[in-house]
Amino acid sequence: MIPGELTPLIVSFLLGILFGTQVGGHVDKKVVATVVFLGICAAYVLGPFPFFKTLIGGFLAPRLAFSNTFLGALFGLLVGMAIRGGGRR
Amino acid sequence: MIDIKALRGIIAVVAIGIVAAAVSIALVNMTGKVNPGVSQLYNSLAYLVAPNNLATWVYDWRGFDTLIESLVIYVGSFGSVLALGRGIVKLKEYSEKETYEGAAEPRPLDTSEVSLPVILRLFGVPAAILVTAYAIFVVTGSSTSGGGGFQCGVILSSAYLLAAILYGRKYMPLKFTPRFMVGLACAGMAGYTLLGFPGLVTTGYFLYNVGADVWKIAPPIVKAIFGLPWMLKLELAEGVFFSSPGTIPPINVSEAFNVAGCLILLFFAFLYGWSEGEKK
Repeated sequence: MIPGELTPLIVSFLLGILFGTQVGGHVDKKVVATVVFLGICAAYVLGPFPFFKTLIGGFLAPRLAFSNTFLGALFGLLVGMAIRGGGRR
Repeated sequence: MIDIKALRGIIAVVAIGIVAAAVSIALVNMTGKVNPGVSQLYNSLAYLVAPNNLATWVYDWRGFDTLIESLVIYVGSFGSVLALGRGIVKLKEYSEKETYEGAAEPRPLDTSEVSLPVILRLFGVPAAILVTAYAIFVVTGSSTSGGGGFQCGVILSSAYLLAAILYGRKYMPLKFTPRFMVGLACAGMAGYTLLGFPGLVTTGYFLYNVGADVWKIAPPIVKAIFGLPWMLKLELAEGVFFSSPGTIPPINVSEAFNVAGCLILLFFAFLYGWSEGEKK
């Protein structure tokens, strides 16, 4: 991985945390499970950006490529929700 | 008696026909007379900056134009909320008597979760979270793929609107506070403006992309700071190139903050309204 592939991942994760801290309401384990499952499906559908090599798509299984930045954003959101206790607000 | 609806239809068809004929004649007359102008130069240099040529055009060579557009959104949003939303946004300094007499009292939009269909109740929150993740995905791929700050802001505000319409204020999953939205918009506008200064200080050109440095005039250390984190290896038919979009991605993130903050602020003020005295 060269810096141009890593930096968007870090930025998306940090932005995910920022917006994740604003998520509240009815967020329980079922919602989190749905988000993770649908998020992984969406990451596969979206795929990596052009000229990006993902860990799976670039090195382990070239035909199976996920969008790193989408997954980074998704897990950032989950971390942000966990930090602020999203489900209890 | 003349059928007004039928008459309107005929007028519309005639008007569309006239416009279509005028555009077609103009296009035919343009054959062989189009000067590529600066486009040729732009296209020959664009790949040195970012794989997404459009991002290079909009945020690098026309970066100043885009900055002013961002300012228009910023001023427009805050102006609308404060002027048209008078009576909705209740500032501490103004009392209830100072609102326009006879102005219709805004009725905050609120829905009951019980009235929602099952599928919306179950998938509303995941959809809002996934759309937020998609918005972040779009802004981080601004220089390499289709997307950018404007799109991210609009997608993020649609996530908010979706959640607002489905759940109402009480059960709202995206609890963006007014303070957060104002802060987001201000940080975005300030970030975009401040990103023009490295170019101004080191090269004399405001908003010059010091990270990409197409004209080789930026100091190497400044080029490394802004360019290296976004450096990509482009494997093209013409060869292998290392290019960096430089300040384009951070500008896009700032733009996204500005657009998202402004649009969500508008939605919030006109859907619910708030007063400064309430919980931040």
